[in-house]
Amino acid sequence: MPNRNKSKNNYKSELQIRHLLNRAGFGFTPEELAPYLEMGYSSALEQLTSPSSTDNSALDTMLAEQSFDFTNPDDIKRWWLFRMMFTRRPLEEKMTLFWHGHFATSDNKVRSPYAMYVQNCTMRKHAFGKFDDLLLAMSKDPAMINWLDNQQNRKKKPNENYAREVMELFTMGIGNYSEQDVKEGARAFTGWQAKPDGFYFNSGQHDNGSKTFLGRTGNFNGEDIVSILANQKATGQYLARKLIRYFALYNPSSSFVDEIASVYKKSDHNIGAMVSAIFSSHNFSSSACFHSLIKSPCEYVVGMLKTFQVSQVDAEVPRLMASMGQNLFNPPSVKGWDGGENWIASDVMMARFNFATRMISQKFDYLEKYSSPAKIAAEQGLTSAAETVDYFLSLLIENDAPPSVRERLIKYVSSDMSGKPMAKLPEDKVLDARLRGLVHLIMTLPTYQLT
Amino acid sequence: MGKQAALLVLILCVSTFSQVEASAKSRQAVNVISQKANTPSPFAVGNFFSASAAAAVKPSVEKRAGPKDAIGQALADHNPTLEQVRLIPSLDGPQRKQINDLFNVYRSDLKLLNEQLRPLREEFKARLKSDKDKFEKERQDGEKLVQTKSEPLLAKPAKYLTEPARFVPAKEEEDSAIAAIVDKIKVRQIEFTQALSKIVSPAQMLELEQLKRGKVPAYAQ
Repeated sequence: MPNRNKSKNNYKSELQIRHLLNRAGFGFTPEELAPYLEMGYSSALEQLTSPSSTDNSALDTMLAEQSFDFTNPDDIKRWWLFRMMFTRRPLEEKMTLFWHGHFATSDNKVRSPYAMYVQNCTMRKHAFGKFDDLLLAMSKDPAMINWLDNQQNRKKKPNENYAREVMELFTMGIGNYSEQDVKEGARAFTGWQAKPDGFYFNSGQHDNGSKTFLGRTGNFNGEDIVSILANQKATGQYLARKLIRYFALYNPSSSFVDEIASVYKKSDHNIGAMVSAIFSSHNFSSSACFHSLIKSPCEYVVGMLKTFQVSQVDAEVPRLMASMGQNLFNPPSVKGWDGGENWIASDVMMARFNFATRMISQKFDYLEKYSSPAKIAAEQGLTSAAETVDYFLSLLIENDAPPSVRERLIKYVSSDMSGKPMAKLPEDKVLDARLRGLVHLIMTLPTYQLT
Repeated sequence: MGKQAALLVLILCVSTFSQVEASAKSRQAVNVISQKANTPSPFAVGNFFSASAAAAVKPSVEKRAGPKDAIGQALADHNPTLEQVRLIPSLDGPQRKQINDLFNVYRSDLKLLNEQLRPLREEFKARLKSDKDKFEKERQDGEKLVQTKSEPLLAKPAKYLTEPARFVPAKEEEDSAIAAIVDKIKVRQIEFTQALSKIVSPAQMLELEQLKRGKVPAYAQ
């Protein structure tokens, strides 16, 4: 039975941890939530931001049993979804998704699922470390080199693609460099090429001449450029704003951005420290932050699968996610996914509702083994329509619904098939249909689209 | 769901588009956490869809099934693709060139054979449809004859007096022209496997297998 006598403070604390897990991961199952509730917010945050301290061997074992083919474009998507669903280190996957959007690389051009998979592993490896290391690893990453044409960046014919994007999208942001910096930066990255087993420095194609980059002059190579960029104040600001927008608020105050940017500097560019500072900030625990971001398709789908404790990832899920606007390993452009209100544009919104329909009508087939809803409702002690509605509102949207919606949902549950009010909850098939309908209605509410 | 439910879904869906944005913005003024603090937790014991212990399902990923038709299954090529072979780190320059050449010829041969196969399969399907339509027409004519059996019949086919016959479609894979091309493709696939094995050593193929299973270079571990 749910603990209906839980104290006010306890529930407030639970909501804060649910808020944290929603943002630092992709939702949670009851089993995943329980230990975090036990340890409290501070310890939960500490554990989430230091993933290596959490044993993830169960996931490794499960992954080994799946026989993925990492040269298959569909398999790498399933592999990552599987990780998101069953990892014990949710923030590690959430950060990897952040970096996938930040260093957006698409298999549509790279044409090597294996290279995309290796890039994903590299992002995960450096997800919480020093930004300089990640930036250097991405500059040498074969998928990235192919994606931004650095393979064709040669001494006598520099290709400026990577040099431009590394400043515009990966570090400082537009407005902080000149066209001359792009040209000089491109010279520094000449000869940085990819081979099947990784990075290859083609010394014969590298420009060894002197370069002037962001006001400094020297015989710079790509590593020097990475170091110079990582040390720019604008880089700290740019990353801070982007991380805050991803984890906390779409429109952060300049003081919040400054606060996180200062952590970047003080921590010697440590990403984990920045993320930890965001989650520790009063801005994150404020009411303005709660349910203020629109769920990405990853959050929507994986969160739903977790809530319903689905154990089998249907082959169709990656395709359905793509129809919602998030095709993993295939971001739409070098800028990654715009996110925000784009996630609920009219052309993709119906795909969300259809996914909810598919889930609740058991089109995936994996729910049919479970107990009957009517039986579960009885087990949970839900004897009235109001109790039932409150239970599901709490489960799915932290009870964050206007009273008018709650009333309409109660009316829906307490009506018979012809729409006439009933004195008590219906039984068996009628109740089953009503409860499935109720859950679907809640999942199509505005608040369910929010995290 | 009944009419009332459908109406409610419609109302909620229509209102959702405008409400999501408004909801995200208006939230700044509402302290939800403190307002809802007296709501009970739904997570004390499982939830609505929690699997019972007996029904617990081991986590797994469903894979797409391969082709269902016999020809599609017969033509499944188990050779690696060029993109896969190229991943093998230890291949040297001459090997890479040989592999490219081998794949170019192989792809070109397969393209040619598939171009021969495609019209044959289309013809077969058209023929099958025509046969089925003809059969259906004869069956319907036969039924009409049976219905009017009180009237004198000059030559009533015996088959119309028994159980109606069922249309048995010819099997595509048994069509001699199609089977001949399929055989040629299979032979070509085997020849390719043998040719590839002369360029790429078993140890190198093992390297590819390890990559396919997820082995990553040290820098990504």
